[in-house]
Amino acid sequence: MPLMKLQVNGKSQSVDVDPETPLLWVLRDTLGLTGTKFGCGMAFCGACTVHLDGQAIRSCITPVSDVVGKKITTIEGLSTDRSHPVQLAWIAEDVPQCGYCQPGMIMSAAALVANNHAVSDAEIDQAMAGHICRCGTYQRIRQAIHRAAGSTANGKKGASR
Amino acid sequence: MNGIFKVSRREFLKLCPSASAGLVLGFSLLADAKRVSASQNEPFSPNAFLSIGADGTITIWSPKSEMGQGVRTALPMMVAEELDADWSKVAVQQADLGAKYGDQITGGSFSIRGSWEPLRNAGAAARSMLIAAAAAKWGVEASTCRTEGSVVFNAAGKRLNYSELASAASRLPVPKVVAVKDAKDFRILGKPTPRKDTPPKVDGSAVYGMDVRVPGMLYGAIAHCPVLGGEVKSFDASKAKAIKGVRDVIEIKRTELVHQFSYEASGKGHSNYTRSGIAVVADSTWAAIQGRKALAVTWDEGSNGAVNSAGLRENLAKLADTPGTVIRNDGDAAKALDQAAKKVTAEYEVPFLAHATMEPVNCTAHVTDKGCEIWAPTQIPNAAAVSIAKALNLPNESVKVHVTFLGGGFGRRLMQDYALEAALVSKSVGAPVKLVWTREEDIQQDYYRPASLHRFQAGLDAKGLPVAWTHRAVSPSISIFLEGTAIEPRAASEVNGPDFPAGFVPNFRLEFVAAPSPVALGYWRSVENSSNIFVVQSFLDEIATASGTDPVELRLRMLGEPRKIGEFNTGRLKRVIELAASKADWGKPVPRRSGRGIAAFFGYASYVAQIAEVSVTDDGDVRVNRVVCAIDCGIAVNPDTVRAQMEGGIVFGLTAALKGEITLDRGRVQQSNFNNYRMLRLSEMPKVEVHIVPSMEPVGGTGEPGVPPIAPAVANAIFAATGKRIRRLPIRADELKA
Repeated sequence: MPLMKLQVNGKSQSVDVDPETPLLWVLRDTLGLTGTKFGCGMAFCGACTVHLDGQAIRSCITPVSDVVGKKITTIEGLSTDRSHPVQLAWIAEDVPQCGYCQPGMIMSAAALVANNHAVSDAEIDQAMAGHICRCGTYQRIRQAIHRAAGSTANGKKGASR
Repeated sequence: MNGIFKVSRREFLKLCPSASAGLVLGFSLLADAKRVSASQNEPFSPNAFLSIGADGTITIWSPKSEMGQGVRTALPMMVAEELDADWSKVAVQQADLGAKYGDQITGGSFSIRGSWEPLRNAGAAARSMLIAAAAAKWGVEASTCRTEGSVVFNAAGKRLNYSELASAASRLPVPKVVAVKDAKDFRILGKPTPRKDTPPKVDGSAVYGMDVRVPGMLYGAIAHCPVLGGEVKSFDASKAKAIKGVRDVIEIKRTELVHQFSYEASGKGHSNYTRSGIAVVADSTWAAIQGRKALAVTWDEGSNGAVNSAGLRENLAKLADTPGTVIRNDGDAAKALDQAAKKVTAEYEVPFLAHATMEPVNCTAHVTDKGCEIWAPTQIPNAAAVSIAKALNLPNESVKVHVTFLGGGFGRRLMQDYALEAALVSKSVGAPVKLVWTREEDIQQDYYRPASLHRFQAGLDAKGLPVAWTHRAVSPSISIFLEGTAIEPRAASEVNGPDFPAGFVPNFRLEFVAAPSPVALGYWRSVENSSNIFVVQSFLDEIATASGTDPVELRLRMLGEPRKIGEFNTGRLKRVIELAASKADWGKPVPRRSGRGIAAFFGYASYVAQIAEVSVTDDGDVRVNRVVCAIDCGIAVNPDTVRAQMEGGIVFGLTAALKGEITLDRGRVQQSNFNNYRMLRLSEMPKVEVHIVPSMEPVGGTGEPGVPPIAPAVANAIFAATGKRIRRLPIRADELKA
């Protein structure tokens, strides 16, 4: 089996796995990056979301062979000290309850606010449509994304709270 | 006797090896409201500890599982308050105590209620011992000293840190009487406090059961018989074993579990077993999942191969024509119905529901010659330990349970089937194994909230108030499922016998018919309240309509003058109803096909009223725009957590009301993943406003009370918007077209 070279959180990693293995299991079982979660295995819940070249993708249905040579960022690589604006906003709004879905939520939110534009409620609805939180933290997630983006419900920049 | 004991450093380190112990106190958190009195009669067996280390760290060793409800913040708040501790130095460690240390259940919205007295007492006792140690060192009266931020000060301005005093304090006696603070002096309790478990939950470092890694660990997946109660007949493992990374394929037989609460075998006819299945063990989760897919299993479907939802519903309807166990019978309901000025009748139905925690069912187990160690996201470690000990013929003490963070519990993790399964798999392969259920297994092999049918009749007097009320509830019984056919169904606890409107209608009759069911049953966030509050609060609305009374007004009139009936304080329920109504603009005009609905609930020692504001499109699609929630939970330990629990309870209940339904065909659960067992999404989230009644009453629960009122509030709002009454959940758009 060929050794595959991956770029994960700025580090080069070689993995020896079946090329069809979903990235999720390579991250979790092979590389020990367990912050990325298994929720459904079918891209229905968003718990497995990571960034591929800055875009939010579902790692549970992405074969590892598809991501060779691309930049992968997981929740562990978002910042070294919880200083990413989305992490700070999540802490400020005390978003998580059980917390299991939150790494995926945070990765999608980080992709959404990445280009530092003000986001509207409609954009948040769209960006987070693929995510499920069973504890029901949605209201705080919306507030936290606005806080991170410095935006208000209508998508204008401004003091969010 | 305040139930607080000193624990020797040596004994404590055996229990909690990572502890840095100076002063250690042991005490018991209460397990649940029903068993408080029982546990008081037992010999002292602590299930929690407070340690103050020589490094100044203050640690609560608690068996309470953190499943999102905020115990890892609320428990330290109680201790920090009474101890006048430096908040940043107070933390909770999960205590992995073992089976001999009594109740360790997390459930019943009881973790904070059951910790309130013991933890505050322990904090106050430790503070008094630290002061005594400081006073002795200084040669001053203890009464001249004060405490703040983990420091004792004396009148001369001298100071000693708790870290410097812990060792000396541990040589002093525990005070027989401790005084806790008056609520007006609280500096921490009752103040919105950031959760201590948020930081590890935003950077991926929080370890859930799914994330456990043990040296030499293998990965397992399992296929259970898709037919309820069916078993493996034969299987061909060759294709599975041909998959790279697959190590072993083993049959797991149906194995008995101990009862959740007694830790003893359940009675005759109970159904508390693991399921029959085939486990695939591999070098990675993915290989195990692929191996599972490649299994060729012939199932013995048993007697349930023809079970379907239509048949189960018909059976409930048939049973509704038979008399049930009479749970309450006030006055003469039949006679009063005959003589009533007006009669109202209705029949409601609710479906089976799955828990679908975001973290699928999993457990890591390592069985060796010496015993068994498991790492489990569990709400009830003892039941896991004793079940494993019995099944593997080990002494209870040789099973060690490490409780991880739980990626949701909601009652699913009160069942310990998955822990025993993991142990059986580990024993069979002779290595540590992390057994992970696929989402499909998680949804199709759950212990479901029972489906039920409810038949109501009410008779109204000339003023429109109900003078007669009959309710016959027909449902499979959780207690029979877990405890066996030999017991009388715990009918009262399956339908909230003693609760409102019982006691408020002079002629009142409540019956329960236990329906036989092949479907596995379990506790689902708010349990029977999730069904019964929907039907009762919907029927109250039907009475309001029939009598031409405003639904808020009807409830207030029925509740009457504020008074206490047992633990139920009618004034507190009235107050949350009035508060919700005033905040929600009750009675103000709304646009076409929009409306408001109310429902209220007393349970878990808390009072909740919710008003939903909905709009219904001409196609029948329901949009819940806003929910106003008023809660009186007594002293709100961490008001921000109370708010979060209400927000979350509303989403949980709303998901069920709008989407939740487990159906069966050919003995199989038809739903399998989030594409067909659907969840509320962010775009569907109503604006939720939570109003907390300032209260000095004893602490009430908040994990469950937010769930029951939302379904009837929404159903009643839909009636207000469309004139159509929801009598069957989930709410169906095709019944609401303009």
